[in-house]
Amino acid sequence: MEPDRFVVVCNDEEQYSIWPADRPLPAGWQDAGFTGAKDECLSHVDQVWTDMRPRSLR
Amino acid sequence: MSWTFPASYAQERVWSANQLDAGSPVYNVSSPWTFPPGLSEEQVAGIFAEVVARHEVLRTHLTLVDGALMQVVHPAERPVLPVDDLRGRPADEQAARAGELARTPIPLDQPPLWRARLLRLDDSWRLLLVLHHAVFDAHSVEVFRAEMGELSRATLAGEPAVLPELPIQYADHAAWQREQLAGPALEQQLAFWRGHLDGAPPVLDLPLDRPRPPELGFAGDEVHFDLPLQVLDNATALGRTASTTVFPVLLAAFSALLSRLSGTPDVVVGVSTAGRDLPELTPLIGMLVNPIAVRCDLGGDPSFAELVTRVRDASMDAMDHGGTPFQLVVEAIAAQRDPAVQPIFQAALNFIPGTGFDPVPLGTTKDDLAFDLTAGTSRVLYRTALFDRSTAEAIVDRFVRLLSAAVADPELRVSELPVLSEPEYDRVVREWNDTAHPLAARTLPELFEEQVTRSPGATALTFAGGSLTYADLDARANQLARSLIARGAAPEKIVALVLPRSPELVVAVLAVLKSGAAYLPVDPDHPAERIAYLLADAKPMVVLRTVDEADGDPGPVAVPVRPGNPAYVLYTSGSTGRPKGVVVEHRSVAAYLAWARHAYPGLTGTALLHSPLTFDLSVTGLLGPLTAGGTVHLAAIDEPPPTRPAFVKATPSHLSLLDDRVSPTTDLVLGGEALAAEPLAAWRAAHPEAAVTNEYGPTETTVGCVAARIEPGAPLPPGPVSIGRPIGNVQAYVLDQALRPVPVGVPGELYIAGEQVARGYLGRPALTAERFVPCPFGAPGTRMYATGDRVRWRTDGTLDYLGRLDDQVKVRGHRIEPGEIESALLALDGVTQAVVIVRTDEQGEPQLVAYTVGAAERKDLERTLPAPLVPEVFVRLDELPLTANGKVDRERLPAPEVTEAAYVAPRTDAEALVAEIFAEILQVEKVGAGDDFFALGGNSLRGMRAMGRIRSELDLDLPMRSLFSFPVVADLAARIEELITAEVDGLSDAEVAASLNSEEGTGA
Repeated sequence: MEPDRFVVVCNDEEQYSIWPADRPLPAGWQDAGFTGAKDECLSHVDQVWTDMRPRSLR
Repeated sequence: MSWTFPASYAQERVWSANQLDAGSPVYNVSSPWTFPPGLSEEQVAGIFAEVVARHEVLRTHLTLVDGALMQVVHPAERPVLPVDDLRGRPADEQAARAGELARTPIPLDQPPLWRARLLRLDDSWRLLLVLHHAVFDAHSVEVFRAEMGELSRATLAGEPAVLPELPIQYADHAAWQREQLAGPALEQQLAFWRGHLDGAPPVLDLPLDRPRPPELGFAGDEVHFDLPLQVLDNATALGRTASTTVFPVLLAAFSALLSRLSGTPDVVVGVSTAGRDLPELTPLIGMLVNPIAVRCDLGGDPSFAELVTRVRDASMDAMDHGGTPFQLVVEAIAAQRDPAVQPIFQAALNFIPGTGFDPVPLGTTKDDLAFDLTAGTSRVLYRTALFDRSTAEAIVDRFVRLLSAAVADPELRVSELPVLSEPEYDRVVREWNDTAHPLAARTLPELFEEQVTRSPGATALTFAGGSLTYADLDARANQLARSLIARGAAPEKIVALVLPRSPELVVAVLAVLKSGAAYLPVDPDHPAERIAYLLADAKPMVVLRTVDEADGDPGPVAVPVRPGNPAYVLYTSGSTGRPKGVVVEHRSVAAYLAWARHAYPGLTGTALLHSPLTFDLSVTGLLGPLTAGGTVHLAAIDEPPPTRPAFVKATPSHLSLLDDRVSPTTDLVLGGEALAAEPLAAWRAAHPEAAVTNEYGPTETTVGCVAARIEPGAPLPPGPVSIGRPIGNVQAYVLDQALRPVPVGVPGELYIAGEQVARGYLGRPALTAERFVPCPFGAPGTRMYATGDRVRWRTDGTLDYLGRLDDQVKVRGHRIEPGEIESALLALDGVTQAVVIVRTDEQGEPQLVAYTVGAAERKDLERTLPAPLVPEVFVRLDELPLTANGKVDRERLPAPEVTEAAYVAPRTDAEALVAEIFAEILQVEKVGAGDDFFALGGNSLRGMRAMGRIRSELDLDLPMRSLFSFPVVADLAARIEELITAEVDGLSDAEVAASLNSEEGTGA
């Protein structure tokens, strides 16, 4: 029973991930402004996550 | 004088199921009756005799006539009732008598199919009555009580009793049913059931306490409980809003629980129907109840309210076709049944509004799991071969919890319904993950340089032809680091090391770490194409293919390396897609090494470093000793070092290579593959002084993150070895697809959180985002890694590794765990290594293939594994092919040779007899020794006939279940020969052979 809608999320280190859209976000994660099917969310991550270093190490 | 009629379908079903264990009381039904005071013994006996006289079925027994099951009705005679005088005796004596009677088996082939006693109590008479389900059902209890009540009243009043006319008798119904259910009418009904059950899972995969035995028995037990009235009221109210009764609500909750526990959205539940739609049947005593299979669709994670609607519709459709005898549905859909699994459904739910259930526990069950819910005391019956009592109790708790939450808030989705209790949640999420201990954020150069300061003159590295002290190694690494820095090496950069196992490689690793860059090990022996791919993908700043004789400043380099900078990049090949580089940071390696130095005292001695650095298993044997003051010895695993090492880390496939000179004295660490107790036993026996650790860890969570230590001398039960508990500062979560913790014992995906979670996949944002996900259980903003591994918690807080999620395969609808089959193979004498994989055969069907070192055959496994888990093909190899990392190389396992299943003429007299009877009953021209009764179109009715023929021809007590266990001619014949040998010990071999010969001669 994998969820069908996800939201792209981001933490303070600007690391991206995805989370089931109908569930409250875990603490320390923000909505990165994109919701969709899993594949769509992952494609979006490919677009926006251009520097994979944690923010504190840039 | 007696009359013979065909048996009903329901009687056929009960009869044939009962044949599986004819001595079991599983089909006994109790229907006691207490007479009103004031009646004499003569009168109470007369009242009971009147009921027996009214209902032919109470004067019936069953028998096979020419392979067809018949009911034989006997004339009414006044039954003789034994009397127990219990006046002045304690009340529990009554219960004891009732229990004793209830558990007495009632053979179906002699009348009557009930047992009765009269109890003389202080103020009244009580009739203890136990009947076989072949002649009695739940509605019959009502009929019986009404008639006994009216007859008692009338006798006391001296009036004639007013009882309903019986326009037909049970046998009339059976005959009528056979006429009705024929031709197109039957075909139409069966077409519904074929559609309803098309593609349904043949077995409900509940987590079991024990492996399913190859044959089902009826041994069972029951747990009683009360459904809170408030919950039942809420369920009734919710049913009303869906224009239905409470039943679909209860069934929806039950299916949701089964779905959550088994991880499938497609659940089939058995439900009883009264089978008394016609008014003539209402006043009859008899076996009319008919089970139906309700298929519950939980796909798409519906809300509970939506699920109630779906279940309501599915059960209404099923009940509309409830007139199809279940026996015929089984024949139509599951003729080729697996004797380990009850056909069509394994879990049942009944709601009994009025009378409650059979009050006497029989110690039996027909289903794996059956809930009988009432407004009073409810119960769950469970199969004791599969479940412990504590598990059945936990299932009851989960059902009540889930139902209570669902009816209180029907908008909750199925995945949101609570299955775990709060203490259970707390245990799996927090208590078992309470691994925190103080850990300073460190880098690898710091840890190594501190060791150099502590023991500069100690030997850090030995190899064929030389050794280096800590001071030497440090100096050479410093020199190379300077040169790398000059070429651009720096934190967040990568240096590729295309070097063979050599002292230079160790120097290079330390030099790269000192430069602040991450090392990327590349095996120079790998194909040029792969090397080119890695270098193109990782884009290293420097590629080191040789290490020149060092010169320059050997003093410390001053590069500010931070714990968050990458220490290495290792490429892993998943089952799909291109290899990907895992970026692991210093803090993670430092955290792992801190635990390893504590867990493995052998790291302060000599550690054998034999595996390539491209495999993260090698990190323990390289950086472990160098940060603990030990010595790294470079050699292949079959090159014995000058003295036995203290520490070796290897894969379980390496075990056979560990001879006495290579075997460690202190710590053997096994990782990288599933470990079973059997292949380890011989090594432990030969090396009783060493501790063994089973270490689990994907590269993405840094070397090892869950581990089980087996102390010297500690007993190790057979089968798969637990992977243990999360190590220091690691958290392990076992989650379902909705990322919720699953109960203890239920398989789920393993997620790892904590310090050792890697940064991600080099240059792969989407893949990283998919596998490294927000951790809802730990500190804010942290991530957990989805391992793709199936595991389950044991009750002691350790984890069982079950296999890869993507290895999970279904063969003929059964979920197969190759690991389970591998352990069964390893348990065989002489099998030292085993791998089971699924291949696609010529017809495109998945096929289980077992590869073994040592001999194994089908029949060895048939004794221990259910039929669907027994591989179709066995391939014996001298050794298993290994990858460079020492894991079994599945790609290189040879394809089995295809052999056409040729006709084999019967070879023995017994085979000839069985083949001939099969051919006759199945109307097949030619039956060979290798042919399967069910594959040739047999069903259990024809099976009854076939076994009846064999029994009568050989005068042999051959139970029906033998056919399910041995459906192949040769196997059944072998079984018959065994039985003959056992039974006719007195006869000579010649006499036995003569008996078989004469039987053969009777055929065509």
